[in-house]
Parts: sequence; C-alpha cells; structure tokens
Amino acid sequence: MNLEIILVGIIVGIANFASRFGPFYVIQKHQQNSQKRGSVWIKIALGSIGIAAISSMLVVATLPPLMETPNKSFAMLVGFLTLAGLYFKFKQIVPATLTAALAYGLVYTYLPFSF
Amino acid sequence: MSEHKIPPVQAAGFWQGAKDSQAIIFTYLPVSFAFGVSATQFGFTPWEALFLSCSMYAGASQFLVVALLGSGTSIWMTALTVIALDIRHLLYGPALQNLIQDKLDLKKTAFWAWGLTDEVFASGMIKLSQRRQEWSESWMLGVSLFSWMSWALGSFLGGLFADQVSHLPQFLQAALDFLLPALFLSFLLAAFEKKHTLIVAVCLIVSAIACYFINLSAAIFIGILSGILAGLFKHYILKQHDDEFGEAHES
Repeated sequence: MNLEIILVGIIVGIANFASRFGPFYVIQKHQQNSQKRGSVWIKIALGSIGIAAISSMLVVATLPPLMETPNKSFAMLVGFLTLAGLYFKFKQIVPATLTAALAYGLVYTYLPFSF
Repeated sequence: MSEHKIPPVQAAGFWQGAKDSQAIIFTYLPVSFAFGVSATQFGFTPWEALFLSCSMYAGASQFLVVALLGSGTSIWMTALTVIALDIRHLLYGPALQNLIQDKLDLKKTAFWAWGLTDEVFASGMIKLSQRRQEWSESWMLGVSLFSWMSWALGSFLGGLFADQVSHLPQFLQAALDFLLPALFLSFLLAAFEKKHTLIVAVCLIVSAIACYFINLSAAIFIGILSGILAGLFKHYILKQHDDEFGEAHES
C-alpha cells in the first residue's frame, strides 16, 4: 500500500476523531469541575444546530446535482413527493427513502421531463 | 378505582441501534460503493479504498481525497483540505450533549463518537429529541458501528466490482444518485416540529445561496450558523419561547 495514502488516512482520521470526540471530552471534564448550567442563549444555539445541520445537508445533497443537470428537477420532485407521502402515511424512514429513490430513478430514466 | 401505572421506558440497546441504522446502511452502501469505484478510477486498489474508508471515515470528503491525491496534490494539502471540510463535526458533540445532559462513559463515547458522521448525528439527534428515554450509549454505538462497517464494506466492494456498475439497469444507477437527498429529507421530516419552522426556512434559503455562490462545505457551516441566529432571533426578538428554553429563562 502506498505510504502517502497511509499517512493521509492516519492524519485525517486523527483530526476527524478529535473533532468528533474532543467536544464530548471537554464538556464532560468541564462538567466534573463545575455543576453550573449553561446560559439560555447557549442552549438555544445548541438546540438549533441539529435541525439546522439536517436542513443544510438536504440542500447540499440536492442542489449541486440539480444545478449540474437541470433536467433532474421533475424526477426529484416526484422523488420528494413520494417520500413525503410514504413517510406521513407509514412513519418509516427506510421504505420511504428506498421507494423514493426508485421512483426518482424510474422517472428520470423513462420520463425525461423537466420544468 | 384502578390506577394505571405507566411502565418506565427501557433504553434501547446495541442491537436496536444496529437495527435502527438500516436507513443509513442502505444509503451508505451505494454511496461508498461509488467511492470505491471512483478510487479505482484514480488508480487506487480496493484495499487502499477500504483503508481510507476505515481510517478517515469522512463521507463525501473522501471523493475529494482520491481526486486530490490522484492529481498529484501533496499529502499535507490534501489532509488540510479534508480537515477543513469536516470542521463542522465540532458542532455535533455540543449539540448532542445539550440533549443528553447525563454523564457519559468517556471510553464508550470515544467509540461511538468516532463514527459521528452527519447521518449518525442526525439519527442520534432525532432519537434524543423525540424519545430521549430510549437513547443510550449502547444504542448509539450500534448505529455508529454498523454505519461505519457498511461504509467500509461498500468502499471495498466498489473497488472490487468497479467495472460491473455499467451492467446495472439504468434506472437503478439513476436511483443511487437520489439516495442521499432522500435520506436527508427523511431525517428532516422525522426531526421537524412546528417550532422549527423559522430555523428550517432560514437554513434552506441561506445554505442554498451559500451553495450557489461559495462551496458545499461552507454552505453546511453557514447554514448551521444561520440556523443558530434564527433560533436566537426567534427567542430574543420575536419572543417566541420554546418550552424547554422558556423554563430555563425563568429559572
């Protein structure tokens, strides 16, 4: 195996581990020394991160392929509508996600229609 | 008169976590397969693709790693670029800890936090915000470990069977492209509550603008920051207090 690849894998792996585990470590150690609850604005900020991250990731996963290939728009709309319909009906992520992807694939391949 | 006692909710365990990681596994397998194919096209072996997926576990950033290394960029520049792209992960720990509130077993946390990707974070956040009593570190470990294994397996298989992809029916090849957007919309639908309307609307608009004018990784980071600002705006300017923050405000 190429030495460059091993080095990049190890360096990025350590950095990723530090960015994922580091905050837990710091917070836990801080909590041991101080029992004070954080201020309201910090709680609001932290409470907003989750839903904000999911919303942003949805945009980042959707927009670039759409900008690159605008004729995916109709298939994407069908995929999203299928997903929303199935999710609200059955409240299950896995079948809704897979069926929506299949609907997208079928529409994009066999109904090449765009807005 | 009969009294109905509500049985205490039992925390979900490791295998429940493994089961709940299905949505991520079904998405990771094809996406990491595509990574394995891409790595092979840039001259990497299947074992090298597997090693990169196991060691850095950086999702979409890995596509950039093989492209940069394959085009002769130095390892330091490559490493720095990917680290900068993944810096958003720093926000995930505090966000989860804010919902967990209990003391964590740091040894166990180190294992599941290793696999705290965007999707695992979203899954953990949904569990914590909707069924907090069912959340446990063992459950998180199950989600995290099985997601990681599926990512590694998909990369290896992609490297091995790179030349077979073109034999798949065309609609299936197209369907693979839509798995990530579909997964994130599923997460959004699962996590969404009425109180999030302003934050979600602001995030969608701001990250779309950032995605168009800047780049993908900046768009996620800027989107998260705009969501935080929207949350603060809602609380302090619009005076719309969510229950948990309202209580904290009064105490």
